[in-house]
This record gives sequence, C-alpha cells and structure tokens, in this order.
Amino acid sequence: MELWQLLMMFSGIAIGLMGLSLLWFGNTYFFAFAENWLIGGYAAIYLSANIQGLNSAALTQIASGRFLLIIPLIAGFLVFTRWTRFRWAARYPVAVMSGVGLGAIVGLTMRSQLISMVTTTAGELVALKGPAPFTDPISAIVMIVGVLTVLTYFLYSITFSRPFHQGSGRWVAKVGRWFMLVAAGYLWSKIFLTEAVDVTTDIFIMWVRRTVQEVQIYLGMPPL
Amino acid sequence: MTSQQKAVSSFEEKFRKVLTVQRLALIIIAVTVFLLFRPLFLPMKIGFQTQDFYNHIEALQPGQVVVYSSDTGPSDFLGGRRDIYKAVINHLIEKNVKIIFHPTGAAWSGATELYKQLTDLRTLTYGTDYVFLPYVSGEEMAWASFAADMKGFYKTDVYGATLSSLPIMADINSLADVNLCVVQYGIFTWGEMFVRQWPTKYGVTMICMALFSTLQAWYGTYVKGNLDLDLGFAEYEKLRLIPAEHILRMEARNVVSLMIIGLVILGTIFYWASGVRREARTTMGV
Repeated sequence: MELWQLLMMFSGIAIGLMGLSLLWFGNTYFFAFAENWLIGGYAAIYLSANIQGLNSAALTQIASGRFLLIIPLIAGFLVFTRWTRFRWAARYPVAVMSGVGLGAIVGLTMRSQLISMVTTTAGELVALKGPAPFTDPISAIVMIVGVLTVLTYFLYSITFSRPFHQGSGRWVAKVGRWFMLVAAGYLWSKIFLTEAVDVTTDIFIMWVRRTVQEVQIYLGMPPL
Repeated sequence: MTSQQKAVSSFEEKFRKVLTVQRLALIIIAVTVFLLFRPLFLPMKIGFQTQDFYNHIEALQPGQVVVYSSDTGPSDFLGGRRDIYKAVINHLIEKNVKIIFHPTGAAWSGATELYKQLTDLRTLTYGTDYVFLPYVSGEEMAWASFAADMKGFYKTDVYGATLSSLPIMADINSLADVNLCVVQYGIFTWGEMFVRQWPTKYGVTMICMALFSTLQAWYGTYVKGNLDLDLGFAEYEKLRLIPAEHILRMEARNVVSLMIIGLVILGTIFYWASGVRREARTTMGV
C-alpha cells in the first residue's frame, strides 16, 4: 500500500467516525459533513456511471449504425418534458415502459409464481415429500396446510368467505394468520437483527481490522 | 405490590439507568473488535443452501459457460464482500469454465480492473476465458433482452470491443447456451425478476448470493443453491477452507446475537417478575 492510499484510508475512517458520532453527540456539524459527503459522493458516482451507461448502451451504438435506437433514446428524453409546459409528452415513455413491462412479465409471472408453485405444492402432497432437504412427510403436510390456510385468510368475498372469517370455519383463517406471523417474525429477525449485527461487524472489520493490518504491512510487521 | 415485586422493580429501574443505549453500543463494539482479532472458532454447520451452491459449482465441467451477474461496484468489491467474491470467482476459475460477467449495477465499470487485480482472472486471457459486459439500465427488461440475444443486445464489451469478435462469444447467443447462472443481488425484488426471465424461460440452473427470504418461494424449483449473506458466505469459506473475513464476522454475529437474545430474555423476566403492567405504548405516539 502506498502512502497516499494509507492517507486515503485514514480519511475514510475519519469520515466514518463522524457519521457514527450521531449516536453519542447527536446531529453535529461533523455528522452533517459525513452525511453530505456520502450523499454527494454517491450522486457523483451514479451520475458518472449513468452517463457512461447512456454512452455505451445508446450513443456509441447509434454512431455505429443502429439508428433504430434513436427512438428509445428520444422516448427516454421525453421524461424530462415533465419540467416544461409539454408535460403531456412524458406520458408516452411511461406508457411504453408499462406496456412492454407487462407484456414481458405477465406470462412468466403466471408460470413462475402460480403454475409452478401449485404443481410443486400438489406434487409434494401427493408424494408426501417436502422440498430438499425437508424430504419428510410432515414438512409436505405443513406446507400444504400453510398454503391453504393463508390463501383462505385472503378470501375477501362477503358471500363465500364469511364462514372462514366469522363463522364456524374462522379457525382456518386464524391458522393462516399464524403462519404469516411466523414468516414475518423470521423475516424481521433475519433482516433487522442479524443484518444489523452484520453491518456493525462490517464497519469494524473494515475500519479496525483491515486498517491495523495495512499499517502493520506498511511498517513491515507481520499482520495480526 | 409485594415487597419482592418492589425489589425486582427497583432493580429493573437501576438496570435501565446503568445499561443505556450508548453503553450497550460500546459493549457491542468492544466485544466485536475483540472477536475480530481473537476469534473463538465456534463450531459451524454447513447449511443446505451453501452446500447446494458449492455442489453446483463443483459439478461444472471444463469449457462450460457461466454467467456471473452482479451489482457490485468498486466500493462493494473492496468493502465487506471482498473475500467472498474473490472466493466464488476463484472457485469458478478453478473449474476451467468460461465466465460472462453481467453487471446489474451502474458503478460496475469502475470495478472491472479490481476484479482482475484481486482474483485469479489475471492468470486468464480476456476475451477467451472471460468477458466483462457493460452496464445497461432497465433492470428486468434489460436482463430479458440480454437473455434472448446477448450479442444483439450488447454489441460491445465494457472496453468497446465488438462482442461477436471475442472468441468466448463464438458459440454463445442466448441464455439457452449457458450452463449455470451465478446471480448476486441486493435489492429484494430482483430475485423474482431473475427467476422470471432466466430459469423460468430458459431452464438454466441458477444459484444466488442473496437473502434467502427473497428467493425462498422458488428454492428447489428455480433457484438451486444460495449463499444466505454473511451466514452463507462464512459457511462457503469454511467449505473451501479459506480463512476469510466472513468466518470472523460469524463469530461476532453469534456472540452479539446471543447477547441480544439474553438481554431480551432478561428484560422479559424482569417485566413479569416486577408485576408492573404498563399501558401499551406505541412509537407513533397514539
């Protein structure tokens, strides 16, 4: 590591500590500096990357003879008419994107999220075998019970679903709710608890461990 | 309230005063930093997702084609994910496969040189063994178009060379010509987009590096393996016998998580033992 890289690393640590200072000292000038530095830096990187993307995906290719790409390029720029009195023109790229998006998504969504799911779940029930590694019959039964009860919870027809929400079959929707609560609990603990710990660890690996190691390497000492 | 309940309640109040959020944060920081330099080497079981991920890479034959899709920019590659990306890419290189790097992040082009410096890609020939594609915005639409006609959609690589002139792309036209997709993403909704446009449409095997909850519904059907972030990364590094940083992170995660669970249990015990039933309060102030 060169001396300037080492200095850059320490500058990064200083800015990071300024960001972390919010926890102990509140919203100070130091925290505001770190916050704005981060937002400004990201904005600059993404602006530059998007200009590069526009260049490689459209401008270079148009220059090399793919003139049809002018149409989507113009359609893209029409989005900016929202800032002018010709704001109606911005509807066209939105309409095109929505139409193309729906066309490309709907059929495959039906296949991947509905038909495949139904056949897989039914197959597991018939074979009494859950997906690997849960290949026991109980997993298959739990899965089908979960699918049916959660679906029942989302039946909103006043005529047909009242028995499952208010009548004698209301335990079915209640079981479905329990399945959803367990799933939500798992998701919450996974995302907000463990990921938060991971982020904390990440900071200290990057700031403390790697810094100590780099300084040791720079000074010719064996790294910890 | 009995005298015993009063004593518990008073102890709880003292405990609350002593263990403030700031002090708790300092304890967590101290424990984390200590473990980073002095790991406990707690036992770690390899989960089924990680094992599946590893097995699919191990099953690759020399000359087969892999699409490695990632939203990684330079900061990600030098940041917390450095070791795992290195490990996975080096594993692919060990299997002598051809790798097509497909970017999904705008900052990608700044990371290509880092990929070469930090992994064994530097020992391979660009254009013959691997290729870096440029970033194109449009998310799902761009990925669908890439899958349908790679050379028609991109025309050039990240350096501006015509794709059809590169030897690696000679027999590759669409995703149907690919043997394995290794997909890394951070945005939760991207999982279903990839599933929809790649394995559902082309039947290609897809393994991921993403939060399991975002792909759980398709696991086994369309997604055949996964590294579930830090947990999966640590397991994979253990499987590959690489003493990388994620194993250290798992140590810290295990200890700190146990500490948090312990505090929750302690708090619950105090709450019930004190006999005080407070009114339910919400953070919304209503």
